Amino acid sequence: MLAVIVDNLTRKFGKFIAVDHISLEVNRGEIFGFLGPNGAGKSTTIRMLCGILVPSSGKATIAGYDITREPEQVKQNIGYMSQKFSLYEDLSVKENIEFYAGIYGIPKTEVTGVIERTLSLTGLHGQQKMLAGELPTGLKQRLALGCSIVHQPLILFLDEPTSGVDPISRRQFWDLIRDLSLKGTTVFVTTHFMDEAEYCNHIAFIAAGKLVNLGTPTELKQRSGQKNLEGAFIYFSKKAIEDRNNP
Amino acid sequence: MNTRILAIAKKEVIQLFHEKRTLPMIFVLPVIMVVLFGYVAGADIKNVKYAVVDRDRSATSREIVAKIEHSRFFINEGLVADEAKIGKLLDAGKIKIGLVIPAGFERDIHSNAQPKLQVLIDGTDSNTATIAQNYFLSIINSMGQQIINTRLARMGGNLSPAGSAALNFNYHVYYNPELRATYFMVPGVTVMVLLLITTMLTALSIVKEKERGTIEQIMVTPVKSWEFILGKLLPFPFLGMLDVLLVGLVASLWFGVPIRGSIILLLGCSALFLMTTLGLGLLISTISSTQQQAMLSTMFILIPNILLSGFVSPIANMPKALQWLTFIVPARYFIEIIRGIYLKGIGIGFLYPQMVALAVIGILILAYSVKGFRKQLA
Repeated sequence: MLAVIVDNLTRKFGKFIAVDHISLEVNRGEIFGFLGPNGAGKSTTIRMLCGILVPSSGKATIAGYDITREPEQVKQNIGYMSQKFSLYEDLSVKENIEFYAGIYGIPKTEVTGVIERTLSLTGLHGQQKMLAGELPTGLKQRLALGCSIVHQPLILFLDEPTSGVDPISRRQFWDLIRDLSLKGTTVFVTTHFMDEAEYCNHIAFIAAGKLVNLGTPTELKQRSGQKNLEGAFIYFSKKAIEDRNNP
Repeated sequence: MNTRILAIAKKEVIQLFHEKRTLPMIFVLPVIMVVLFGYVAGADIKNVKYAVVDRDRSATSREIVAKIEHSRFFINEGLVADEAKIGKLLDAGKIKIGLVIPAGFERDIHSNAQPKLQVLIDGTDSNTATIAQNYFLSIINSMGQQIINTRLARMGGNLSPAGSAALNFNYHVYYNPELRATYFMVPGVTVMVLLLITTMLTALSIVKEKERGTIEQIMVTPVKSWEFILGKLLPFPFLGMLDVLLVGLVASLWFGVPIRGSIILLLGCSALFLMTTLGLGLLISTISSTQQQAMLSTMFILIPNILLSGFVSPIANMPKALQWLTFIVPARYFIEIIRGIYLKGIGIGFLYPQMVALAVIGILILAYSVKGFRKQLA
């Protein structure tokens, strides 16, 4: 069963086409990487899939729900975390978790369980009274992740979740992500770190709003004739620019 | 109520209590404002210094001076020799008022001639001068009244009570008989406090979410934008009403301002007024992307609001065009309501036009700002 189906999704800002007829499919339970240079349209795509931004044309279904016609159901089934770690820094760890539990309509009787689960998931036991703003970046990032999945969503969208985090925290974060994926959560992630991209089951490469290539990391390396994903990244980015200049 | 709205409202309250600067703003600022306005802006004329030239040196002239001395507004700087001396004292700012009682004053009174008094006033501060002049004259007039009354009585019983009433100016000042400026100013501080605090807190609390990106996080949750707004705004009416009570408490206990009307009605009208201030806060939040911008915009919007509300100077004294403009200023209606409830003790029967106006403006502002807020998210 497919978790995400994107069909000719397009978003224009005035004359500028940020996302240009992108189509792709994401299997349930896989880690799907969304790669491309800055300004390629990655965030715009994710924002449309999460229902924050209305598409100009095209359509997409998330967990079987149409993003424009059934945004409520879509939102109930997704988690979203961005590089901003949108936590309330003046609330404690526990208060942040409680808040998101309330936001997702988790019944009062289950909130204690949710807090417990999130604390062990994020390794923040014993620190639940600390203000989120006082946490080191790595822990903040994990708390943000924990808060975005209090409702155990089917699909998790991560928009550059590891920028500005040290390598050890990054590694721990990815252990968490892979764990979630093994338990059945579909993960849709954008990143600029090629070692992270290696963890993905499939990678979609986009440049200038267009889907340039899509496949497993091995396939992308073969198609670009490069030894590693970094080489593939650079190859596809350059090719996209050349294609645009000589249509 | 649904759990999402409650979760947002609860979070808002926790944030208010965690933020060290906000609570003093909510609970200390109103007290400071009442005290400041009570003593400074609402300062009654008091301790106005005056000097007297008494050329008559009669029982009547002494009685006039004693009457003035007994009022709580004036301080006698003593008897002086002549008008020139009074002029010098006025120049030096030593006195504000000089009273000259000419020779033969008492005799003129008794011989039915026109008795004359001369009052010299320092008009530099026109406001104080006018008030002082009125107080001063009212004291002298009441003296004159007494003299007339006793003389009428002496002239015999042929004057009927109705006839004497026709000659008698019996004036009575309603609601604020001592004409205390404090009574007039202090209740109005409620308006300033609510405008300042609830508008700014609303604007800041929403802009803070924009600044930190938390609003985006909330928009990917099933929370609808109206639930978000309602949850965020919900705590503020309660805080606002606490402030209304706080101002009332300080006004009545500290300044002895009477609260003659219903406190419940006062709170009800505050709720109407709060619709306008919260709507304004929401509106400011949609046009500001940083907290600094929000603060500046709040100030920029509040100052004309306060000036046009009739809080500082009466609306009737404004140019016609501005008077018309005040009809769209919600604070104008709330000031009238507050003074009505505090000083006149009037109820809904008299205040419903103002209440309807507040409700209409409140609904319009809220509807417009909610629409703007939702549009900005899309």
